[in-house]
Amino acid sequence: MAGFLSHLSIRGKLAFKDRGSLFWVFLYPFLLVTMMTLAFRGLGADMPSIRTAAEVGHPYLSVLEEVEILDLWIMEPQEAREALMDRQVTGIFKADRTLQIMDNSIQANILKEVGTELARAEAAYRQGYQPDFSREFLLKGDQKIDPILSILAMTLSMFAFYSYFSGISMVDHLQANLSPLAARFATTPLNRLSFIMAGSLINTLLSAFNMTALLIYLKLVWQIDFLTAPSQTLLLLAVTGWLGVAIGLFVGSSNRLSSKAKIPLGITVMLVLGAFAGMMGPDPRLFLDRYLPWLNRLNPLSHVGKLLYRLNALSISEGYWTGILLLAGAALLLSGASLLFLRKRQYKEL
Amino acid sequence: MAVCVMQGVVKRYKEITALNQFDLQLEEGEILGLLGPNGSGKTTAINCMLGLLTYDQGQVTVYGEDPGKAGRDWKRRIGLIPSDLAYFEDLSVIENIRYFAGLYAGDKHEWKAMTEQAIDFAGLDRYRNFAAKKLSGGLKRRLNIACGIVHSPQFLILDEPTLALDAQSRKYVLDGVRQLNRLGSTILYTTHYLEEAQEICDRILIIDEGRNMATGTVEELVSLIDARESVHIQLVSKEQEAALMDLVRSFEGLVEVTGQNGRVTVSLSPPGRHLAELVQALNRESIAYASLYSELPDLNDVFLSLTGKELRE
Repeated sequence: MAGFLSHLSIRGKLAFKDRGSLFWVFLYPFLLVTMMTLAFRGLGADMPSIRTAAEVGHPYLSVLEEVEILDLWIMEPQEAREALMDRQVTGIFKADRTLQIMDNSIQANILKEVGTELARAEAAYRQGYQPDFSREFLLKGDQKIDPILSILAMTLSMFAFYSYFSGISMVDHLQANLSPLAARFATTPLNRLSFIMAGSLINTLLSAFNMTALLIYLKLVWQIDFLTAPSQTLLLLAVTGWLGVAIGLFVGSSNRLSSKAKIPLGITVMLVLGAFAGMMGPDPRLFLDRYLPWLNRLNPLSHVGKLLYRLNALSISEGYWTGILLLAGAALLLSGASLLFLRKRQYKEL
Repeated sequence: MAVCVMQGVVKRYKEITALNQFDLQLEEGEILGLLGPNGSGKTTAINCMLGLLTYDQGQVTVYGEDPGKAGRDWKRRIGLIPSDLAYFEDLSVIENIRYFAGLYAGDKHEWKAMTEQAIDFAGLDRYRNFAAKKLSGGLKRRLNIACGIVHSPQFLILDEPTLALDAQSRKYVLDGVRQLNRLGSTILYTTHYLEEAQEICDRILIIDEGRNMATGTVEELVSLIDARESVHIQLVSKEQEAALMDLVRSFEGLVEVTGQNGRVTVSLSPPGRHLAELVQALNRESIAYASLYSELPDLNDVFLSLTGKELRE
């Protein structure tokens, strides 16, 4: 027990004393969510609604009326054309489903985006495609889609996985062919199971603590509420943190790459998985859901982000416990596999 | 009783043979110096001894066990001070030593006692709360040592512990090694500094290109080679040069004598036996000299003779 507590204390201290870990795991998430929030909020606040005409008989008038950014005027075709010529409106959604605009202003480009999305949704509907993303992120009960919340959910999911770095660091201190310190430990009676359990526990707790601080910061400073279901959210983030540690242990122990290579590799993979999940906006995710649906089914960031969004933006807990069990199971499996790799005592080279 | 035995060990890294039929035997209570230039196979031998490296042929036992299969009790008897600094750079001196002590201690009291003893031994008391990364080079080496001796190992392996150390810190380390040996530790000490090996080791094993070149005490090693003692004499008067050369030609151990401008060099064999006799003869024949000094063969001569190269090449 004393050994376990000693490992616990050292891993905790190392997490706070290592500048790299301090920045990437503790500070960088605050910086990034601050920048994202500033960017998205600023965009929304400064954007006046766009005066737009829609011809009588447009098949998706009711959908267009729901688009908040549009100041929609329903007109006869001739009347709409005159309004466009007089620049009273930026564009016309015509009854034949085309969009007519006069120039290439920012407002006109936004209208083009709205038109493109409408056409995509229609095409998908015609093919009988009902993307999960839309079903889960769009209207549900009295909740409306909130793009900022969905992007932040994926971002928070990515940060919860940043405990990956502590897993890498643990292996770097355990596997004799990776560092002089690990080689030294290999000659001592250090208990690897105790070391890994203590390291996983403290880093999971620290990750959960950091994510809690981040959620409180978002709520108090930016009035973004990701704590609609606080206990479930925190448990989800803690289990995600544990899985992050386990992934780090597995990646760390399964090959001979140095930690200097594994850390940037981890950052890159997480950014890519985050982008696939919708962290950079919905387009990549919609594309993947349509053409490579298996990719996000295997993407843990996507699962956690979806659960976070559903819990806090839509108040849906369906699938929550299944998700928790899957994440915990994966964490156990990867930790076990890492222990098997770490059982190796002799190496061909050090 | 042999603490460590390596017999016919061969270790290859692809095309490079790091150990080539290497033999070593370390007896309980002795300090064995493993002396060889950089890249000679010293660290590879240690890593095989510790069970960290696989090897292609031969046999290694430490305390009668195969190090690759030995358990925790075996590891409690072993201590390693690696040539690389191996501790947590971000933690303080006391945190590092306490952590290493925790790997061996049975209870809190023992843990504390081990920590304090190691701090005291390494002379780190004033620096106990300093971050390891902020210590000077010498103090870092001392911390490296403290982490390795915290459990008073029965068998301690020091791999180039004085590398890049100043004279004062080097003396500190050497005194410490002697003290540990007096307290009962068997010690394997690798170095490429022959003065260190000569100073503290009971026996020396010379290794080059992975081969065991010779083993023995300094005297035994020197006796292995065709070594001679060179006595350099600067005469007060050049006129006495011929008289001196005639005098030494009658010496039994004379190998060679040369002289020029009143400076005479006399080579004698075996070394260390004829100097007193020579000085007496000079005094007896009233040959006045301004200076006289003797050069005895050392390990470098042995190394040169055995391998055909200088130790520090």
